[in-house]
Amino acid sequence: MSTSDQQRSKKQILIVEDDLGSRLALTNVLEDRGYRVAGVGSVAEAMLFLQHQAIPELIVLDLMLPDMEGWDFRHEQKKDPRIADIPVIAVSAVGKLVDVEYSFRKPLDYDQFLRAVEQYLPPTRSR
Amino acid sequence: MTLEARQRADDAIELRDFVENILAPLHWIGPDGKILWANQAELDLLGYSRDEYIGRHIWEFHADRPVIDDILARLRNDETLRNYEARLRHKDGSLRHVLISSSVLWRDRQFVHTRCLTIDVTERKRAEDERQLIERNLSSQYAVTKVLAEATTLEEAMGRLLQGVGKIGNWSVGALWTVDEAGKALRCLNVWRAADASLEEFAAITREMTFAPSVGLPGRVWSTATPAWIEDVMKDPNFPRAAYAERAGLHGALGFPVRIRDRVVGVLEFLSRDVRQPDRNLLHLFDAIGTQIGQFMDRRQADELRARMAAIVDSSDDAIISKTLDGVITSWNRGAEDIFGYTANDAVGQNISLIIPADRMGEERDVLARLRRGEKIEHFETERQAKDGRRLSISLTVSPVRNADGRIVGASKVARDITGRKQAEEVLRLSKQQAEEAVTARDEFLSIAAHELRNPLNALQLQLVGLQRAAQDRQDSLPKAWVCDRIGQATDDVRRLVRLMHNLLDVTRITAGRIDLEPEDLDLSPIVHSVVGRFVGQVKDGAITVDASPVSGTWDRQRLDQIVTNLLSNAVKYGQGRPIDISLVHDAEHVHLSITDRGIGIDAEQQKRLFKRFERGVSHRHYGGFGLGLWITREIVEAMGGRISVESSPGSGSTFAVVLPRQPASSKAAQ
Repeated sequence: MSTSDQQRSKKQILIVEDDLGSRLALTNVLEDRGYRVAGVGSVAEAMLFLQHQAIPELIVLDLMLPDMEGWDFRHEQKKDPRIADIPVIAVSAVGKLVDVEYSFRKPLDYDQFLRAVEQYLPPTRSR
Repeated sequence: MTLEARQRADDAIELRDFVENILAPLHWIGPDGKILWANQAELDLLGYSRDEYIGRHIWEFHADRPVIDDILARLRNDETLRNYEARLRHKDGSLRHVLISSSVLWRDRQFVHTRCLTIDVTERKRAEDERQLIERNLSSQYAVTKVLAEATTLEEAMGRLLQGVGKIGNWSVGALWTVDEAGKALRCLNVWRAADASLEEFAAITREMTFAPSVGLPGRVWSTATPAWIEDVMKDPNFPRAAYAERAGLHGALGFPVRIRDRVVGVLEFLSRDVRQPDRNLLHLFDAIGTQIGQFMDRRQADELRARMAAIVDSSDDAIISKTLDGVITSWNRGAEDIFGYTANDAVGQNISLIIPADRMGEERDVLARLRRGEKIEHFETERQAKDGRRLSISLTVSPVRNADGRIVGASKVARDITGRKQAEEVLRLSKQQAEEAVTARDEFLSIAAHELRNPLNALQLQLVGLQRAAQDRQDSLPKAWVCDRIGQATDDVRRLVRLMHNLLDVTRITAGRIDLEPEDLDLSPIVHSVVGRFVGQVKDGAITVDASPVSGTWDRQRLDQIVTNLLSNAVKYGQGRPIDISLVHDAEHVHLSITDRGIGIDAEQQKRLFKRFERGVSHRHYGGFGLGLWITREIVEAMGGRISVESSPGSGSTFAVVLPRQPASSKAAQ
C-alpha cells in the first residue's frame, strides 16, 4: 500500500495506551488515514521510544496507565526540550487533561477525533 | 323485888345493853322477811336510822335478790348459815360486802325470828379484789408479752393475744381493729370469743364490719385516741351492733387505742356479759397492752419493710453495694456477685478498689469527695474490673448514706453492667458502618464498571466505524485478509465485554453468598495451556513459559479457567512485557499453580489489600478488570477449598500461588 518514500513523508504519531484493544483500534483509525503509527503501553515505554527511536509529530495519550498517570507523562515531556513541544491529544475513560487542546472521553467519536488529529497533521492522502 | 329478881333484872339490862351496843351487827328477821330488830352496829353498817330500817323487808337492802331469797329459803329449812357471802346496799348507794351467819329461833315448831350476825368484809374484799385484779393484770400483761415475743405473724399474735387477755379478764368477746391502708376506716383484723356458741353471731358480724371515724365504740376510740368504757351497750346510743349484743347477752365494753408513737393504728375492744364499772387498774393494763401491741406492729412493719427491701436488693440484677466513706465494702448483693464474680464473703470488708481498674482510681477519689459533700452521682458511665480480670462497662448511681443524726457515714451504689449494651451499640455501629461501606462500595463499583466498560466499547466502536468508512470510501472491494483481521479485533473487544459482564455477575453471586460449582473429573494442565493460548496476540512469542504436567482432579472447569485467566491477565498487564512463568506441580492431595511475572510488583502495604473487594495495588484510579479480579479469584479458590497467596517486591515482579485440593471435601462438593 505504501512505498518507502511515502513512508518517509508520512507523519508519525505515537499512541500511549495500555488497553490493547483501544490501542489497536486507534492504530487502525490513524493508519487508515495514512499516518504512521507506533504504539506503547506505558509511560516508561513511551519515554524509551522518544529517547531512542523517534520523535513523533503527535502523541495520543491515554490518561490512565499502569505505571504513571497521563499527566505524569506530560510532566516528563515538558522537562525534555526535544519533545516538549510535541502536541498531545488526550484520551481517557475518566477525567480530562487541561493543558492540551483536545481531551476526549472514551468511547471516542471517530470523526471528532480525526478532525483533532488533522488540526495538527493535515492528512496525507495516500489513497 | 327480891334480890334474885333484882339480880335477874340487872342481868337482863346488861344483856340487852350488850346486844344493843356490841360492835357486831345483829338483826332478827321475822317469817315474812320483815326486819324485827337490829342493833346499832347493824344500823351503822348500812347508814339507816332505826325507823328507816325496822319493819322493812330484808331483801330491800340486798343487792342481789337471788342471794337473799336463797338465804331465807335455807333458814326456813332450818339450816344454819355460816359466813354466807352477800352484798348489801348502803343508804348512800354503795355496796357492802358482808358475811352473814344466821340461824332461826323456833318455838313450837313455829319460825319466830332469825338470829343474824353480819360481818362487814368490804375493806377486806376490796383489798382481795385489788390483789386479784393486780394478779390478773400481771398475768394478762405477761400473757401479752409472751404472745408478742413468740408470735411470728401479726395474725397469729393477735389471735393468741385476744384469747389470753379475754380469758384472764373474764371477757366474752375480744376484737382487734386496724386502720386500713387508705386511713379511712377501721377493719376487723381478728376476733376471739369465749367457748359459747351463743356468742358466734356477734363474733361473725364483728368480723364483717368496718367502722368510720367516730362510729361505734371502735370509731370513737380511734377518733378521740382515748379509751372508752361502755357500762352497758344496750343503753348506748352509738353502738351499731346493739341488736346482736342483746342476743349474745353482752353488756360491758371497753375500747382502747393501739398506738405507734402518737398515731392510732388500731383499736382493741373487749365485751363482757356483766355490766362493768370503769376500773383504773384495767385502764392501766390496757394502756400497757395497747402500747405493746403498737410496738409489736411497728416492729412487724419495719421487719416487713426491711424484708421487702432485702428481697428487692437480693433479686436485683444490678449490683447494689454499700461502703464506708473510706471505701470499705459493707454490703454486697447477689447482683454484685453475678456481675463482679466475687461472693459477698469475698467482698465485704475489702476496699472498693477491689473492682476498680488501676487507671480509674482517680475517679473513685472524685466520687468519694462528692459524696462527702452530700452529692448524688447519677448514671455515671465508667469501667470496673471483674474477678476474672474482664473490664466491664458500668453505669453507676451513688448516693450518700446518712446516720440518724444526718451525718454522711457511707455510700450506697447501684452499678448496672452495660457491657452488653455497649457491645450491642458497637455491633450496631459496626453494622451501620458496614452497610454504609457496602453502599459506598456498590456506588464505586458501578462507577468503576461503567468506566471499565468504556475501553472495550471504545475499541469496538472505533473498529466498526473504521470498517464502515472503509467500506464507504473504497470503490473496489476490501481485501479479505484485512477485513478478517479487523473483524477478529472487534470480536476480541466483544470477548472482553463478555468477560467483564461475567465478572459483574460473579460479584453479584459472591455478594449473595453463592458460587455454583459444577465439579467433574478433569486434567488441569490442558486448561492452563488453553488460557495461555488466548494471550498469544497480546504478548511477544515465547514470553509465557508453562511447566505443567498432567494433573487429574475433580474441579469446576469454568472456574479453573477463570482463575488462570484472571491471574495471567494481571501478569500480562503489569508484567511490562517481560517473561512470565507458569508452573503446575502436584502431590497426592493438592495441586500448586504459580504464575510469576517480572513487572512493576506490589509493595507490602498494597499486598494486604490485594484480595479485598475494590482494592487494587496499582494506583487509586486504575481499576484493571474492575479491581475485582483478585477478589473474585480468591472467592472462587476458597469456595473450592483452596487458598491463594502473593509474593512480590516492587520493581521485580510478583508471584501468585494457588493451592487447590484435588478432590473436594465431601461437604463442600455440592456448594
